[in-house]
Amino acid sequence: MTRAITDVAGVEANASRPRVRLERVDDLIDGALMARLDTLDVVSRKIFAGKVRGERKSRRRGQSVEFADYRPYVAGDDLRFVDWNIFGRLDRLFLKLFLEEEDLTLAIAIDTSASMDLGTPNKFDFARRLAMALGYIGLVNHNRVALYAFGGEGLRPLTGMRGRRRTSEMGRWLLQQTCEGDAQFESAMRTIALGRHGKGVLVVLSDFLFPTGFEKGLRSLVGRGYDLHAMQLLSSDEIDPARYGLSGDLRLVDSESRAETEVTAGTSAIEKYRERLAQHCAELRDFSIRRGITHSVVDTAADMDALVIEYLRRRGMLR
Amino acid sequence: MTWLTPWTGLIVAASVVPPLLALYFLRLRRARRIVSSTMMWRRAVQDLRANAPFQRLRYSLLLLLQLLAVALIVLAIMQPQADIGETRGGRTVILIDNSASMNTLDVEGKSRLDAAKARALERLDGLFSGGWLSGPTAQVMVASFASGAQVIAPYTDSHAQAREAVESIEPTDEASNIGEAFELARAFSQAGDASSGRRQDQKLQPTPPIFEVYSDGRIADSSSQVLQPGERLIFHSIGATATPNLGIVVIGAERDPKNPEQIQVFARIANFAPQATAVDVQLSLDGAVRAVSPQPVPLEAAHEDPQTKNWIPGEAQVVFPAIALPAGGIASVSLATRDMFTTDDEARLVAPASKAMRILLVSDGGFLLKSLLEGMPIASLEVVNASEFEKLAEESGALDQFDVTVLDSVVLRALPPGRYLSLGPPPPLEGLNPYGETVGARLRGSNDEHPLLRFARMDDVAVGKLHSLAPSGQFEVVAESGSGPLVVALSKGSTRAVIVPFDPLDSNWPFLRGFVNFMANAIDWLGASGAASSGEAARPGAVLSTRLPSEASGLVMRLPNGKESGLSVADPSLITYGPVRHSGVYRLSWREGQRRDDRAFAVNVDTRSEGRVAALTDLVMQQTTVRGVGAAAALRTNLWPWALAAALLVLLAEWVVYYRRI
Repeated sequence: MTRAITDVAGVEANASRPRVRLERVDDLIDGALMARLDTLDVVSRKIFAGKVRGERKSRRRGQSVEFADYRPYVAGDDLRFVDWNIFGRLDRLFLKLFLEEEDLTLAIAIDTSASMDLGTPNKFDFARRLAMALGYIGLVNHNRVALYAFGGEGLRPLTGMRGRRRTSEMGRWLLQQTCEGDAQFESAMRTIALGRHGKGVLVVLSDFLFPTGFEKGLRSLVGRGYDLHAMQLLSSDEIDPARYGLSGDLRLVDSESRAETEVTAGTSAIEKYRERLAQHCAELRDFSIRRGITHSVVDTAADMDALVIEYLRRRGMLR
Repeated sequence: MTWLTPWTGLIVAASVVPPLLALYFLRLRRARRIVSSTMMWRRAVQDLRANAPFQRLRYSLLLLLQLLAVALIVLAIMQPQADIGETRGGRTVILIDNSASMNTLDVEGKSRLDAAKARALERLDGLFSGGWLSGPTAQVMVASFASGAQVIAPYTDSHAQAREAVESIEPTDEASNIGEAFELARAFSQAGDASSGRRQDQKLQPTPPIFEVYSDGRIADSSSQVLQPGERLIFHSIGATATPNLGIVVIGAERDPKNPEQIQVFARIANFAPQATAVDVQLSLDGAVRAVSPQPVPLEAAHEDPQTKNWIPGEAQVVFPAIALPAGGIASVSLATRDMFTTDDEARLVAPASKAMRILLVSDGGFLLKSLLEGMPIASLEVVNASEFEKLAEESGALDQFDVTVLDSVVLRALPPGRYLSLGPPPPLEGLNPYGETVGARLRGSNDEHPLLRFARMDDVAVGKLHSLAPSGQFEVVAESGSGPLVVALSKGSTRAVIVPFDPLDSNWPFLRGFVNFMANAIDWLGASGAASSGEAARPGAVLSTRLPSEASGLVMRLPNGKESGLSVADPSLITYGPVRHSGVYRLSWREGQRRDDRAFAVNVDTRSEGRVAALTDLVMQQTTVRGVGAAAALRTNLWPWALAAALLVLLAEWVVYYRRI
């Protein structure tokens, strides 16, 4: 279940590191990491149509200098694109098509439900730092970057960012977010899907521990041309509770619903929990694979450098 | 370990432990912990509950202490006792050995019988204790055994009755045989089953009893006993295993043929201990010490015969100087040093007065016996023929004037009680079973130790015509040929007879020296029977019998302990008394006209069978050896107070732990 997590370096060292509150943008991303991220770019498995001409190819034939194809002229076509040489030889009108370079929209949806503000290391802190790193990569590559925080009071967007200069704004916005309530994942994803104009890469950062399930939410995103990445963030003590001191007779309180469950965390109970968690992750992975979604399970104890520079590149999300 | 009320304890445990565990779960203070989602945990717990019938108990010191306290309380309720062999609810037969060896005083100064009774009473307390918490009631039968068995109390569920039965068992000086006790117990078990309808209605086998034998293990017939299927035997070994003993195995007396007023007493002393020793021996006549051995009689150590594995005591013979005793009396030989088994430290005999015999010869003219009897030192000899004898027999008391009647080849139709020496055709005695004649017979075997054959070996006797006999068990075959008995002795009630089923003139016997000795022995053996004789003392357990004049009345038997009991008999010519239980001198007195006469009987313990008093730890039976239960092991101690105290301590510890946690 946790192959992806254990592939990431630094898990052991970070797992027991005490939480440092994120108060400044530098806490989210430091200069050294920014320097290393400058060389990366977000990869899309699809060629997207953007609102403005960007730096990447698009299936839409446009006004770039790179020839793509011919097609017969139809009434209404721009006569400027008629290939007159062919008309001279064949006496038929053909339109000359060019590949148009478009920009890429990178949307990052962050789960800010109460369940994210737990775990060691803290899942919400990790999600914000990861969002900051991904967003920074998008900004420096002149992609359109949009952030969404869902959970608690509803969906909170930060859209229309482009360029390195918006880094601080993005960082401050992330620092302002707090975790509370439940995720309302389905409605949040539906809102994002309906509100998005254009296509791009959408990264969902969440633990995906939704009582109502993740299927409907993800399904609302599918089919709209997004290159979807579902990054499941789990803390080390969630992955292996026994190793991090969870044992004995416990009354477990659900962080969102406040429901209580009495558990005697013995060997067999923890083993059962691990089995159930693995099954849950496997269900999410299978669901994602069937719908073209890239699923990753990330231990929040993972080192951010290693995760972004090595792991996500290996997974084909960055280049 | 004995559990008086095991089921009650188990029921309490079954009632208390589950609620305790339930309370443990209910009042468990769980640590509160916030987690991202309980979704996975709920599913995990559901899986566990679905898969595991019982959830594993986690370690909890409090629960452990509480369970320990409950276990101890349950233990106390079950009333444990340090004991073995508890047989609650079944049939238990308490068999107490009251033979002579049980009189040995080697159990803390008490006799073995007293110790056995005390142990048996403790056992009864165990069988009947437990109060209202106990299970089914025990069925207990109490019996004693010595030479025979006696049921003191048949199967009963009354504790008091069983106790009373045990307490009423009296010591005897008899030998020890347990076979009859087993048979009686089995008979009572089957009778009990039959009376309760078990066998008829349910077709069940009789409930096999559990025998609890309280004995020193010196039981003559134990090695021939076999337990039947389902039966169990618990052997409570009583007494010390190394108790030494000296005893008198034989006492005898003879009058000097030349000076009949002189009597010489001799005795044989045996040492049953494996250490050599010496002992002073003294002779008393009518209670007055008349002689003491000039120096302690040395006795060799007893040893085991390497071939037969029999225990051979070291023996020595003591012959006292001849003493004038013309009127007869009680001669007793005793050891000057008494040991722990005193019963065999003294032996006594009744020395008859030195009166000569009065002989009646019934003959049809034979010369041999007549001339032989005339040569003996007898008082009178009267000769009659068969028809005259039968007339005398019809007259009441006519034969009482003769000490011995000699039948010389006569055929009689009936034989009244009396003392007879019969030669020739067998007399009409019940059980003798003559069945024909055989020509030519030689001795095949003989009991050379029998008084009849003293100095009268029959090895060279050749018989021409022999009347064949098939005597029943009441007859003792003294000598036999290949064709049947040559000499048969009978001692039953007031009849004593010596039967020689051939005419001496049909053999070479009259020409042998042994014939004269045999005749003298026979006259002595028969004639002295009325007042006992040397070496012929009765054994405890035997029945005393004698003949008194027909006019005798006011019969009183004086027992060795001095008590007297009157006898009421229809025919004083045939007196039986017993069986006698103790060794000593029994004295029967009667009134005849104005004169009161008496006759003494000596009863001596069978030292050869009872003298080895070292107790056995195991009871050897035919097919198995039952390991004995020692005195220390059989002492039962109630353990429930200790269990209760421990429970209180554990509860105190639990209280301390609980409040420390709070």
